[in-house]
Amino acid sequence: MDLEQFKSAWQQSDDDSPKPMDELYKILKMKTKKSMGRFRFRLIVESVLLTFFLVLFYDAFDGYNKPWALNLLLGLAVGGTILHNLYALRFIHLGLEGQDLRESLHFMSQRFRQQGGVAALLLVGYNLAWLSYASVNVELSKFVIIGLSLALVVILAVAFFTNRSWQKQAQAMETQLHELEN
Amino acid sequence: MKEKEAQFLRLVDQHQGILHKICRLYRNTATEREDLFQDMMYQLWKSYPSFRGEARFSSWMYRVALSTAIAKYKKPSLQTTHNLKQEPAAESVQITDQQEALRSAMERLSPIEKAIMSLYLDDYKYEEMAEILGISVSLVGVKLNRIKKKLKEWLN
Repeated sequence: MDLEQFKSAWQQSDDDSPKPMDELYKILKMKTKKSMGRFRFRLIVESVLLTFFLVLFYDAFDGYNKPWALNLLLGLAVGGTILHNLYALRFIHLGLEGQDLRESLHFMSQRFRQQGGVAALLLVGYNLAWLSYASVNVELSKFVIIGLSLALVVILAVAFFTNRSWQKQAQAMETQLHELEN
Repeated sequence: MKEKEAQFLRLVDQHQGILHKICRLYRNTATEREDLFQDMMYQLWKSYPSFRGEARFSSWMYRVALSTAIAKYKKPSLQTTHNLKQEPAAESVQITDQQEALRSAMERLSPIEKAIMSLYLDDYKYEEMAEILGISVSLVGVKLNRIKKKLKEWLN
């Protein structure tokens, strides 16, 4: 095995398909990648539509005549959904932290764990608000109770799997970190 | 173009080979490489205000690029492994069979081992490698020996 020869071939591959300056400039000006851009667009549209719905609801559906608790519930549901979207959007734009690779991996794993917990909590919170809002003024028959219970189970399951997928990412970072430190 | 942007782009342009090498090392398809290149550019630009010129620009660039590649590491799918054979990186340098075997062996290394090996192949000193990776100089030596031993075993 001739590592020295490989070293020189490796170093010479530096000049492999370099990008011209104008392409580098174009990449620099790209705020987000296409896929991320689509995700961001969806979150923004969803948030704008929900805000619009909230304003429209209050005016067009006599929100001022409805009990304050009902309006509060709806506000919480919409606010929670938008907050959840904004939190996801913030995560996309976060830069790397840390002075070296070890610190970057450490911060990244912490960020994944935190993101998982907050995303799951927000998800449960705003879905419970939507569910409560939808069930106010509904006669609690056996069928309705079963439906609400099922919805609750689904919400909890979605929150559980959302959190689990973030925790898995965090664990992957911790595995890399463990390998680096040992 | 603003002065700061122009200065940043000039520096990136001088050392962009580092980014291409990391893209080839950590991603298999052209699309994945292009995505990673964009990610690295984004992170470099975002972190640029923290670059105070205490270290070489290339060392700082290596650190940010490696952190981006590893922190966003995805296990290659079956499809990407298949594409690896269909989309070889355009090489301007003649490489021998032995070097090709070494390159293939490097692809089998873990993301952390790849980082150490690429720094070694780019002739970084142990002290610089330790600073980029955030581990002690002696641990760099230990790890490098383990990787060389592993590569030797695979190649024999």
